[in-house]
Amino acid sequence: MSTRTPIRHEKNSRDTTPDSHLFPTRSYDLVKEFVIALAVVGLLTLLLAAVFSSPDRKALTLANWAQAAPADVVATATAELAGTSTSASYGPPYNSAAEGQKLGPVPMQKLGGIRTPVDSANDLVLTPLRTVAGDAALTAALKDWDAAADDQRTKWASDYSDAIAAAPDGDPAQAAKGEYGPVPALGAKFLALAGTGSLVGLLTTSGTFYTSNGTKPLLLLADGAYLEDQARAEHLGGDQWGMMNETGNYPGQPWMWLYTFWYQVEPFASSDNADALVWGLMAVLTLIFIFIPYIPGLRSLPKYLGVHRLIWRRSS
Amino acid sequence: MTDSPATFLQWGVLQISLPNLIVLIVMVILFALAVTVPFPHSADAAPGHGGSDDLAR
Amino acid sequence: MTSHASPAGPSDGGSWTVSLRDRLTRTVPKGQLLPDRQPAYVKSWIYVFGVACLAALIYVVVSGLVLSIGGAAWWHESSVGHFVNSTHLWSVELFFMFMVVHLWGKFFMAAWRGRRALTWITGAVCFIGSIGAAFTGYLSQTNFDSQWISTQAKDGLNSVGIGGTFNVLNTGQMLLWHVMLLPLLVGVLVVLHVILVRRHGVVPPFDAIPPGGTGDVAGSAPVAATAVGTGNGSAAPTNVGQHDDVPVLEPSMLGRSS
Repeated sequence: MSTRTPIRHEKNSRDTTPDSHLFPTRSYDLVKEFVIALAVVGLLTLLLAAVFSSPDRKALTLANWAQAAPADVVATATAELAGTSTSASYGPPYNSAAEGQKLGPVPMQKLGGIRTPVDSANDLVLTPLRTVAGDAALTAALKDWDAAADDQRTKWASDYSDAIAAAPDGDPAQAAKGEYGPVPALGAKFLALAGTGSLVGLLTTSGTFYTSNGTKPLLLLADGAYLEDQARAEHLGGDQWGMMNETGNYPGQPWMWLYTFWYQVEPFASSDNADALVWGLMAVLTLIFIFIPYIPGLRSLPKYLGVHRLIWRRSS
Repeated sequence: MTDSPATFLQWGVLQISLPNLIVLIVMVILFALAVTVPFPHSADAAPGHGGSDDLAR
Repeated sequence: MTSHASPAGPSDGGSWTVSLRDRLTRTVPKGQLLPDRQPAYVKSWIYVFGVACLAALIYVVVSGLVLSIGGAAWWHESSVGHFVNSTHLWSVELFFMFMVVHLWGKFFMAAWRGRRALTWITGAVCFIGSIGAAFTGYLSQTNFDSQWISTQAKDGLNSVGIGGTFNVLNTGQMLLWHVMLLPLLVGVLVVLHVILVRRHGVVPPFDAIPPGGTGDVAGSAPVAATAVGTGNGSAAPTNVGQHDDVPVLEPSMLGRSS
């Protein structure tokens, strides 16, 4: 048949697709097809697993961190005490230090509420330090800290934080002398505690026995630069299409391409509300994807693209 | 594959790891082959249902 | 007690059992739950990607079950465990590869036509749900990757106010979501999706015409040889689920020529 059928126009939106059960049929062994698929996919899986294995880069411990980047540990502890670390100034769900991100006028992050309260200075630094017994210098430093007013504490910690940042290689030992109160001592003791390997336990099982919640040690680790430095070295950073990538020489999550794409371009790349904006945009795009059958124009696109002619070409 | 870092390719803002690129290329090839390579079919269709002209538009 | 299904109308004496049985048996036309015949236009390798995806999913679940026997840290400590983890990873990669190729195929066929919108929707939601399931899997690795992914992903979830509930830093919670909650969701969606495919059959080509007229499905229930629908006078199919003489699928039935 060589005459072309007329193109259906969108204004005739009634779906006149015939019932598939009305068409001539031929034998098709679904169960055999399924068994063959199981065999082929099974073999492929075993082969790929045997040849390529899977990545397993060991988790960073807080002791690793203390050993590899001691200056970063001290700087992080100082920032927690100053209230300037990422977690301390995050806002919901951890605290009320900030309103958080908005989607347009809607304060989405704030609406979520403080569901996982974390007091960065106390929970992440001071409480673990208070468990250390028999260290007179630490006890004295904590006493000085407790006796000081909030303003004084913040000033000490902020000034020390600035001094560390200005020091060569960010080395606390080379920080300019100044009035930092007990903060340098607390920072040094915190580093020592992290180095013992017991800090993660103090952050997770303090007051309990079992734990499966890594919120506090992860927030602490993420407040530092070491975790991110290690991640960026493997192109896992947000502005490195990191969401798609994997440690080592392995495929990652290529299906995340569109989600991570927006972080690479403006206005998202430099926006303080980037996460909320990208979420909102992807939610809209996802809904469009799900409801394609109901979207005029989009639902007709496949017919005009013509790939179907390859699939349903005349039998040879 | 090893734990050494992957190779990354970059064109402007676009960046992709070599393993991911291989996965994508394999998928495109699979799709292209799937829609072009003839599918074997059984010969159990009975002959004769002529007069197709009246069914055609 | 009779065992025939009344195809339409109120059930006997208001029996909930009869109502439910009727509803269930009407879900898929008789003989179509596991048919041994398919429309003759089902003749392309693109059609195998759905079942390939299903096969991969089975290996994802099986390898996941084996991993759960050993526990969350097993694969770090045991070479057998690491191998099982590798099968879990690669079956997931294959699952996504086949699912996306299946999705491309279904898009280019506009497979939502003929009252198949829900088939597309369940498939699309399954895709999104699978991404979520895979994401919680990455969080459950208990290694560097988990540390990084969780501390990054928390910002996205927190920014829209759901991070307090969906706490990606809570490994215990994420492990249970990964092993129980999300596979259940994906599993239910997959079952619904496959039942819908069996209910409506494989979508015909664009402008295809069956023997005996258009018999379009607008306003009618899925039709099969022995089911009674509210069809609009279309010719009854001659060979659904049967082994009788099969009319040849004429090229002209396919409408526009390629």
